[in-house]
Amino acid sequence: MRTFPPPPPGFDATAFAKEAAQAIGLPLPAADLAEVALNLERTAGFAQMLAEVPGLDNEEPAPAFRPGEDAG
Amino acid sequence: MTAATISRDVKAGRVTAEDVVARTLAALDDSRALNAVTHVHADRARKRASEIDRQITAGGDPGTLAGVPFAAKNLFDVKGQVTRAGSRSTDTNAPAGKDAFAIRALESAGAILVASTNMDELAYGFSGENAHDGDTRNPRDPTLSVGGSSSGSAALVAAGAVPVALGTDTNGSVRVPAALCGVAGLKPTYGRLSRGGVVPFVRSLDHVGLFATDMRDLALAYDALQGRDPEDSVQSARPRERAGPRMETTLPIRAARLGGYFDGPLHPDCRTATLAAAQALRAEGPVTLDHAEAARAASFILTTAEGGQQHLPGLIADPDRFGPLVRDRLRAGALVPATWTARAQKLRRRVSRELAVVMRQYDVLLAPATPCPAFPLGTADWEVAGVTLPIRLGIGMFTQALTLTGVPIAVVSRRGETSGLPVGVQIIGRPFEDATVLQAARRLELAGFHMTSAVPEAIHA
Repeated sequence: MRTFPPPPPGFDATAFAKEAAQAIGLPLPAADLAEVALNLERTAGFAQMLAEVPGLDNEEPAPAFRPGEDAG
Repeated sequence: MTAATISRDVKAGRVTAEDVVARTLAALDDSRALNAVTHVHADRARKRASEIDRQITAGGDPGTLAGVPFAAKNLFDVKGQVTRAGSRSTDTNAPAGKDAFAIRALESAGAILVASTNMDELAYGFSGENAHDGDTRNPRDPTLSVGGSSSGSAALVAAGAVPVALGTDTNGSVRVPAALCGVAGLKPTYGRLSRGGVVPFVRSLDHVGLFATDMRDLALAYDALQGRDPEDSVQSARPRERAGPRMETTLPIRAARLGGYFDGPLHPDCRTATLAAAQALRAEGPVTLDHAEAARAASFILTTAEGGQQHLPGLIADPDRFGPLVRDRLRAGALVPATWTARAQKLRRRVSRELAVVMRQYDVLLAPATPCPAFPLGTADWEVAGVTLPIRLGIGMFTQALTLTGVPIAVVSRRGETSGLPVGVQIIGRPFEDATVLQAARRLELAGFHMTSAVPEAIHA
């Protein structure tokens, strides 16, 4: 059990957060940047864990749209 | 008093629904120190009770939950009120035009909504802490976390104020508080119960769930909650199942205990309880779910990413309305790249298939609900069996690992041998075999997995 698995080597969460926030129009005050980056780093660690699961990229994703079954 | 007893007494004329509501409102008042309630629906409840009493006087049958008071997490729409979802980010939302489907379903069976309950902000948390409404307190010990995010609903049932309460479970938000409070909890199969009129958090993982005093009440309420909702496009079209009449079955239930990832870190009380549950059901094992830790990682990613997208407009327009425990997590989630969520969805397929293979041999699997009993409110790091866990997240490590599969899971609890606090065990079933899970839970209840209310019944009897 790894509490927070490490992110991929070289992942710069602060730089990524700044760029990605700008790309989607999300204001990111400088005072909050460190906390957002910390959360992104943790998420990157969990994502890295999935990147290491053998054969996962060839798996079919779970969500399936079922035509005719949409009740909306 | 149980829901079954209240309903029987109300129907037999031994007590009126108006009396039940009056006692419940007094009990809610008595439990104010728990900070479990965000709104008491007193006038509505009294009006509804009087309708039920009139129906009974006229020889009618209000339903299986006649006169049974219940509470609902403040994530469920209540007609005429703003659904707060534990957040100031909802302040400017319009009042709900109608009740959530689950509230309508319970009231169709004769139940009476009495209160909306406190919760972790936007359902994003396991601790019952809330920056806007204050923390919910554990009826077993008010200095301890009640668990979350359906904190107030679990607390009210544990305090004996209501016999049934509605919650939601995305990563463990019913199962964690059920375990930390010592009440019966159910996260039904994903898609079994309508989410109509429930504020979404993570649409691909959100479940409507419930708490009750005991397993028979849980089954009674679960049966009443089923029904097709044309407004919920995720709900399954499968026919209803009836759990209540099958609760006392003597048919064999094949069980196994989950090991591997679920072996620790574990407080001794949680380990002992899980082993005792396994012994009571003559469970085999341990069996392993190789992708359990990865499944937890995938759930974490989907939660932060979908939660971030859900609240992106609010994070852009008015971020100061979000509390500090959730705002920056949601911001980070809104920035998650598609590659990470795509792998999480692939892992969902992988682990669901793995679990299905394991469950070819077993009707139910057993696992601890949490790594430890309730922890002090305000705690960030907490040591469990020599491992320091970031406890606001770590308390859900065993529930979050299973939520991805969407299978039905009940929680039974008992008093921990060394801590004296409740500890819970998850009972995991096959998809849409919720009734089997409840049957197994009932057997464990009869084997001692049950805790009485934290507040003496005399207060509201």
